[in-house]
Amino acid sequence: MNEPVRTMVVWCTDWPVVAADITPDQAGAVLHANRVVASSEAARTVGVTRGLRRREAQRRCPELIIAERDIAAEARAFEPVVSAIERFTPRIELTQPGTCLFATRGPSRYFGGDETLASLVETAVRETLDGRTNCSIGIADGVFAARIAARARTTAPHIVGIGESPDFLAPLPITLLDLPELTDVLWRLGLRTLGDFATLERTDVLGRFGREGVGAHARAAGLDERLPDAVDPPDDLRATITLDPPVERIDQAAFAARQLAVELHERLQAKGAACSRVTIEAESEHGETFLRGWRHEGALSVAALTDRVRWQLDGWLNASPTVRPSGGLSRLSLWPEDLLPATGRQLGFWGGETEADQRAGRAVARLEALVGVENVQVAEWRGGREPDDAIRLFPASAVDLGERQLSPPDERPWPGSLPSPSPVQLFSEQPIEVVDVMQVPVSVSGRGDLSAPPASISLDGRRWKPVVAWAGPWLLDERWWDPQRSRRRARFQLVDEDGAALLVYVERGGWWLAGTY
Amino acid sequence: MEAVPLREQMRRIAPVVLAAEQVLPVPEVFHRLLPGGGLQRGWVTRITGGPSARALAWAMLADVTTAGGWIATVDVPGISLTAAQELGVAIERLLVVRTPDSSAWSATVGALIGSVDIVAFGTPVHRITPSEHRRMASRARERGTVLLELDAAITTRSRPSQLPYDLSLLAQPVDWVGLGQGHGCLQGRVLDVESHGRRIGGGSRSARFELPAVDGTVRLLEERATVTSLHAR
Repeated sequence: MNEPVRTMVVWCTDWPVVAADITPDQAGAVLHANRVVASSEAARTVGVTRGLRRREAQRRCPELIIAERDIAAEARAFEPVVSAIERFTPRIELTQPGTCLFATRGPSRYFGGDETLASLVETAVRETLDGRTNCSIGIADGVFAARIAARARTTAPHIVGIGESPDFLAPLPITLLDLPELTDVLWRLGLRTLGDFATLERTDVLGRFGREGVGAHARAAGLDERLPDAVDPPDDLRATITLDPPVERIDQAAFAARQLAVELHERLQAKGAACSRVTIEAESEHGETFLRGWRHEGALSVAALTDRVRWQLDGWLNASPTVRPSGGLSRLSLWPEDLLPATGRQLGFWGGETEADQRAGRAVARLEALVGVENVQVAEWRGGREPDDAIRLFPASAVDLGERQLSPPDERPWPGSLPSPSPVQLFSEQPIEVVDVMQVPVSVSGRGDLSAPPASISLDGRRWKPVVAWAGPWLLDERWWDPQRSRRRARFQLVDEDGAALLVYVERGGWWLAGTY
Repeated sequence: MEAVPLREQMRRIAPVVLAAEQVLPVPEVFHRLLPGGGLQRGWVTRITGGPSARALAWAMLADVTTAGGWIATVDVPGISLTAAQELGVAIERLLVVRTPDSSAWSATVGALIGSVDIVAFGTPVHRITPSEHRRMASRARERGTVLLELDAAITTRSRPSQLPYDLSLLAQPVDWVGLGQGHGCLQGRVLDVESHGRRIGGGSRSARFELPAVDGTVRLLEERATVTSLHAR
């Protein structure tokens, strides 16, 4: 087992909230998949905590500012902070936007001890943050202990002495391991603290909980977090691409990011390996080099690798003029910092990973460079009552393609949705005219009463077509609490004499075409 | 060395592929409409008939996606993924691409040929030059991708096409099941489909389908005699 590396963790609290431009005194929350993932200090005081549903959060705090999670923006906003720390050490690793870490051995000796280094880093980071949020710093032997030390939320940097990590961790609750399935079992076995777990024999833990259990055991004991079967990678795993002409725009960089990630992944796969830490290096056309590490708890998939390279390139290209590359990027390299056996923990890119899937995946990367990231879309199920709600299109780069949800989690219907078949072509904001036999526009009262049966329709106001069959109105009144997304409409199905079936609705006093069947 | 004409040389080194391997699967009910019992790889096809054309396209392409193939659409407006899923398409293998301006159109379609099995595109609004079309078609033949033009008209009237086709399908709604005068709701459609093209012997074939039928499936109602009319196209 390796000696734990003395590590400093810098943690900027509530980073998703900061990146969404919400100040600490505003009540704000960042949501992903309808759940709160981060909330501001002001929001927490009124009880908006992680994991709440949107509706519950808004009930607790009606004036809550809500932002959707955008990890790319978080990474971009975090880049200045990392650049500030870069003055002290060149090798910084990011675990996620908002948290970064580095080995302190060299810098500590240079700046005169852990305390001095910690206060220097803290001043530099606070200057960059400019009061937008708080930062806390922890130094300890091993990444896990340092992270816990940083999260202790003391005002001053929390420094755990050399060799004291096991004692520091021992009295802390076992749930800090953040492995709910494992800690649940341990809790029921009567092991309530990290110290209790650490006293178990390592071989017993391996026998009962496997590889993951041993990793957790090492962490609890204050040893190195590296998984026991991780080895140092050989040099030939370095993936490099030369960019000619040099790349300055982020959409071009995104294309390069995918290429690089795919290449590294293929090389790793050829060795039957995966990695959890990578280093990204970029060289500008004027010879400046930029270096940054990223780490992940499990093995990194191609999608995860691509994301990290893209975030990093985005951060570099959009940094402030003093630290930004002075020219375009001309060379990119990516290499793993450790190797794990690829146990198939993570699904391959696109789930099944057939040859057809791989070809399509490569086409996505090419198209993103050609027509822009937002113009290459894939489907994801979101649920809803209207045909354009239930399954929606999202940019392929914003969606984890391997883990998409494409059908409802259960078979229960959405009340208020129309039965199948659904319209095959959808329209938005397409007006249509619907009149009765007297050529008077048909109107619907608030209670859903029709002024007269619809007799003919026209899309352009000139050519009229008789209606041969119709049904409705089916009333829909949803999200009345949200002025932007609320809908109050009465829907109808019509068939005209050409045999075309239409879904139309009345909203805001006018008739609109929703779709054709 | 004996000089061999280039064309002869090319014929000798070209790989031999059985016709069956070159056919993309379509549901069995459509076999009567298609000469080889499926969509021949490399064909340029067209489906017209307004919204019904969409429904017909999804129903025909469903088997390709469930067998692991990919479909990409280029500039097809107002795609209803719910409808596609109901008609059997595995929408996880569907890419939806929009081109920001018409200059990127050819490059986009070109990038997709060979990467996906079917490239469906809305009738292009810009002019496609004959040489552009030849390049596209020959690349599609070489890489085995089916090019499919989907008519994007709101009404049943459709815009004239700019491209010559190997196969053209025309969908015409006949009747709807389930909707009355102020009651009921749409449940099924009766659809006439007519296929013709230079690759299917110059004649035309037609059949009547329930697409979808009341239970959501696609059913063949009757098959009409093949009407051979050499001057039709």
